[in-house]
Amino acid sequence: MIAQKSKRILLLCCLLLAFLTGCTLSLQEYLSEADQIPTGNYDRLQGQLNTKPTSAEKYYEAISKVINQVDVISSDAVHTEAEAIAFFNRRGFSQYPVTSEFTINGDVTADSEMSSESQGKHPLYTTYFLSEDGKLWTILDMNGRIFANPVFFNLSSTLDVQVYVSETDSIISYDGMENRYYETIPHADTVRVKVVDRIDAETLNGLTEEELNNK
Amino acid sequence: MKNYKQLIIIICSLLFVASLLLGVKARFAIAEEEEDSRNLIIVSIGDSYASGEGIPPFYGQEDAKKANIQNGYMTKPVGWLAHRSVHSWEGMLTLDGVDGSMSDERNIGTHWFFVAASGATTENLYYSQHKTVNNNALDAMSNLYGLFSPDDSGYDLEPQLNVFKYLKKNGLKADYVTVSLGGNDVYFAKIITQAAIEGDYISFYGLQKKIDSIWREFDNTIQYRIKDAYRAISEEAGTQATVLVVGYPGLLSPKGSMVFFNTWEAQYINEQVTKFNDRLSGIVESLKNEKNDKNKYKGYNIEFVPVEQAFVGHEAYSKDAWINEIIIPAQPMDLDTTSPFSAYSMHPNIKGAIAYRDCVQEVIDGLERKREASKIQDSVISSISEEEPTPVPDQESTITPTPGQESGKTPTPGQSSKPNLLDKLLSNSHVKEIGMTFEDLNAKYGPMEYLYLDTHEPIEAVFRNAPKGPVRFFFQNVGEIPGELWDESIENNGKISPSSARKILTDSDICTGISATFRTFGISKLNDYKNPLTKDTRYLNELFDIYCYTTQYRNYLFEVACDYGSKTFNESNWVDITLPSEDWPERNETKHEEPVPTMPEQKEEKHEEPVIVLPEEEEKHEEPVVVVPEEPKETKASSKWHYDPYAALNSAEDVLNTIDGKGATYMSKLIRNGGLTKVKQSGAGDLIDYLNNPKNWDGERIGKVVTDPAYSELEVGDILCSVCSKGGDSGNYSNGHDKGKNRYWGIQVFFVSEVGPDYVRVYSKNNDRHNEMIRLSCNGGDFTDKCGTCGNKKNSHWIAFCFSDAVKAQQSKPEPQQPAKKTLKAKDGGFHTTDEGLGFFADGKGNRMPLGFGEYDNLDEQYAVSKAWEIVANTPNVEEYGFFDVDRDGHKELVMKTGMGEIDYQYEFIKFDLNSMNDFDWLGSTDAFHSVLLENKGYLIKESITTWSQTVSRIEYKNGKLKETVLAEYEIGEDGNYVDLGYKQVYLCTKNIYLNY
Repeated sequence: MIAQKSKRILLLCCLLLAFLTGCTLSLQEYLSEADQIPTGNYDRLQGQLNTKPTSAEKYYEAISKVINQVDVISSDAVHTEAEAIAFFNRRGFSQYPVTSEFTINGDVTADSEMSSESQGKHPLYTTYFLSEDGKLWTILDMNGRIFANPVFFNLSSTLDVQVYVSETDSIISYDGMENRYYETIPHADTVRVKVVDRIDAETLNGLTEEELNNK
Repeated sequence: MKNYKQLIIIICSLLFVASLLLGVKARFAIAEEEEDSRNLIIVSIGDSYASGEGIPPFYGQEDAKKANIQNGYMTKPVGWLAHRSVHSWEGMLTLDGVDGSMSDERNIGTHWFFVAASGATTENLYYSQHKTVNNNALDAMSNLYGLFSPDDSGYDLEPQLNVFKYLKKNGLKADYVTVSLGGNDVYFAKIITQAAIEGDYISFYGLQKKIDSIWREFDNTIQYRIKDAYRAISEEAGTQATVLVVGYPGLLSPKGSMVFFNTWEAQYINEQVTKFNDRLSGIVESLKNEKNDKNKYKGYNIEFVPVEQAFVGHEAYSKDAWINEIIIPAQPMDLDTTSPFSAYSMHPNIKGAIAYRDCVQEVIDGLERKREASKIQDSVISSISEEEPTPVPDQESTITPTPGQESGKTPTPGQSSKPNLLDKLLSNSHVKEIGMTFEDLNAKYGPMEYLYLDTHEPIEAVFRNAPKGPVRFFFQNVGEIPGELWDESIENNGKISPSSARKILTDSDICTGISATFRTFGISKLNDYKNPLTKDTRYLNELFDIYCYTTQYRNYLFEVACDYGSKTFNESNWVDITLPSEDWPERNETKHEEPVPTMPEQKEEKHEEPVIVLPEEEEKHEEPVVVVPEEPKETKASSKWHYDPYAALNSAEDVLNTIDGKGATYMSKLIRNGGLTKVKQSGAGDLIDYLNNPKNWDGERIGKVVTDPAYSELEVGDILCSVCSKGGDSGNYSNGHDKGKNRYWGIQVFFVSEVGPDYVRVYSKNNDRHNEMIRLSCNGGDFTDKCGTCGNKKNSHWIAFCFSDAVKAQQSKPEPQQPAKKTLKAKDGGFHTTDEGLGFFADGKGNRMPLGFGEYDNLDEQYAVSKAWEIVANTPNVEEYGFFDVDRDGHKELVMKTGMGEIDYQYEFIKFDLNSMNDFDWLGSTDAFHSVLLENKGYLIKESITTWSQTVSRIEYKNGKLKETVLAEYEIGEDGNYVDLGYKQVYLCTKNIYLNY
């Protein structure tokens, strides 16, 4: 009971800290600090994001540097359900079921919970991770690579962009329209990538909002 | 004997009369008894949007938290398992003849049967719904008694249709069945929540793909399941029951939550809700027309109640959200507290529940009144047929007869002998009364007692002043049809497409003025209007279910769509505007060159019929003020002002709205007093270029930069254009193209209506308020304080387009000397203001005090000042007031010294915060006994001095609390000397300065 209370207090403190630290850095300040945005890019970007993009290619080209495109079906790196579960487990992400909402062909599937005995493949696996201090993360496995979305941070952040955690400076995205992966380095005004050596429970437990804020 | 006979006759007569009277009385008594015995019942069925998911507490949650053991058995907390909220919207419903609301204890199980359950699908009407519990907040007893033990971790809720079996068994029948069902069959909320926590960058098109998949499933199976469900509810409830299928609200603010969703994604999600509601509404319509065994001559007794419009602007992540955001983590009263996010997410909060209630209550009350009306009519008709025929006043009887009506001719009961709008409405479900001015309407249908409902007035204020009894009223909007629809109508000979008509409804000012379900053109039993202070419009328009959408422009009544007896507007019901082209107001501004005595609309002149006038004390709080025609006072060149400023501003905006990629525009030539003429347009950014490089421009091509405070160069009738030279928000009075964004150059036009020695008054259109004309005053020679349009005022520049010969001549002359700065009248400080409102805060020495509000993201200085004025004006016993950044966040707070005398003086601190309910937060107060406020290194210091001591303390707002820390105390000796701290005094001014100004 006491542990739960402490956990809640800690969570509240973290949320408060996230709020306060978020408040101190506006997007404009961030952009000027990062100094990565060419003049006029912001307007262009706004235009891009406020209208429906017609293809993933145009979308990612507008908001990132596209490094690579891979067809999901032809990729050898895609994990099977069993591999994905083991992959997550090895890194300490076993609290929640692993799910996927797409088949390897890109169709939407209703049967979303993955099985450790299945050799079926899916383009995108998801699970959640609740850190020791009660912070929620979404953990993603795409094309054999792992990414983490600090939901707790993004929900309370005052930044105009999402933060993802990756093991490199690039991110894999899934295009449900063409059933393709895009490996991109997002522009700083689109998504911020926090690079860590290894995405696992221990690392995420240790990551603070301040670190996420400061890239 | 004869006397006896007479006496007997008299006695018999008396007995006869008495018996008659008693008989009548008895009949009334029976009727009353029957009325009293009417036991209205509401049954509430459905899913989480019906159960009140997201609004704790839930019925039975205390039983869940603590084992409730009765007779050795654990009582299952069914209400909690179903997440039936104590504050559900159904519980707030009321019924005539039933005390209190449905959720009152005495009504539960008597008048109200609440079986909705969070997570229910259509299947759970017929089959039980299993609720799994994984809540670590429950006490050990719960588990001990096996309520939620691992092998019995939940409970099966009864099939919801069973409620009708229960009613039948107890000889009861439902009068109304409220239903919100179908949403979980398509699990939109779940998809949105998942999409949000995955993040949009990771999955391109994933959201749409999932939703597309749902729609395929909907078309193949779900729609039939829903239709079967509604049909089953209707049949189980019986023909006497009206089934009210309640729609779903839009979930996401297109302007909010941009971290998770792009604008188009949020819009896309909301569009899906709209589409879903349309489909539900279509299903209901089809059931209304479906012949069935139990109701052979009519369709099912079922109605669709839309709520979507009521939530516009109140979606999750909007400033005033009525839908819960995504809530992380699970809440203590969630069934599954180990879930990463709460089931409360994306469900209405208490405000949303009230909005739901209002929508449904309105329909119930309407149906009840209709029933009453038909009962009265039946009794009238039966009395007419039984007794001698006498003219019976119908519902139109209070309306003045039309000229030409044949005298002596008795109208048929229930039908007026004269043609009138109501008859026309009743005879035609898609009414077109097109292109009529109100004079035309009067001429054609005779004078009517119009109530002029200005959509910018609070509706309750209108009804507070309305005459009692049946009154015919028009809803009028003073807004205008969007420009693109003008173009469309001109291209198509005065017609617009249904989709455009819909756009008018959804996008323009029509639906946003008062309430979401905007209705008009009807007869209202205004004497039944019960609660004008609660903004409760439910008593409008019930006598006849006529739901119309109209708009009006320059006193032309445009009826966009009208439907009788239905609250649903399907695409097929839209009525094209078929205004004869010759009746359309000319766009050519030369049309408006004719003298127009008032501005901007001539509504008061057009109608001699009663105009609702608010009491003065209420008008004071209407802000901004709708333009009231006013003769210019002694102003320069006022006689030259003889064209319609509204048209002038429109024309100027036409030019200005020629936008290039960044919103910078160019206006080449504007002609004073002859309307505005667009001569040519060219390159972008010319206005800015003019500001930066005036020498590159010949004076004829563009106006003159208005230098502060040289008002002398302005004349009435000039068009002023404000330009943000370094970008920024164009502010509250944006001309639209850059509204709401801080990214573009801000440009706005103003019409100069009055020029005084040290002030100028201008009119502007306020897009945020439906293009309402706003009057502003710029005092003391500074436009930017009062009328500045840039987020950052220092970037505001003003250009007057003055092209009279005199101005040209002036331009060729050497630049006139700047007049000396005016001395402020508020010599000892206070808000520098006029009867128009506030200008700025003055320090009493002729200097303007920067208030430090400019850096607020969503709160400009002008707003803060006016809000401060409002607070000060409405707070009793304010002795002094000023501004200080007490929480040291870079923005000043309002400081007020309140109280009746030294003994109870207090310093009160108020923070401006648009995110709070009242746009401000009260931070706290501290004693102000014999005190003065000082500043030291940015901290607020209070020095309190008595005969014996001097106390110095620091006041700060930290960690959510106003704190006062004593720094030093000095004893005052015989000599009475005080320690001079050398701190700067914080200036507070007295309240009466501005009030008397």
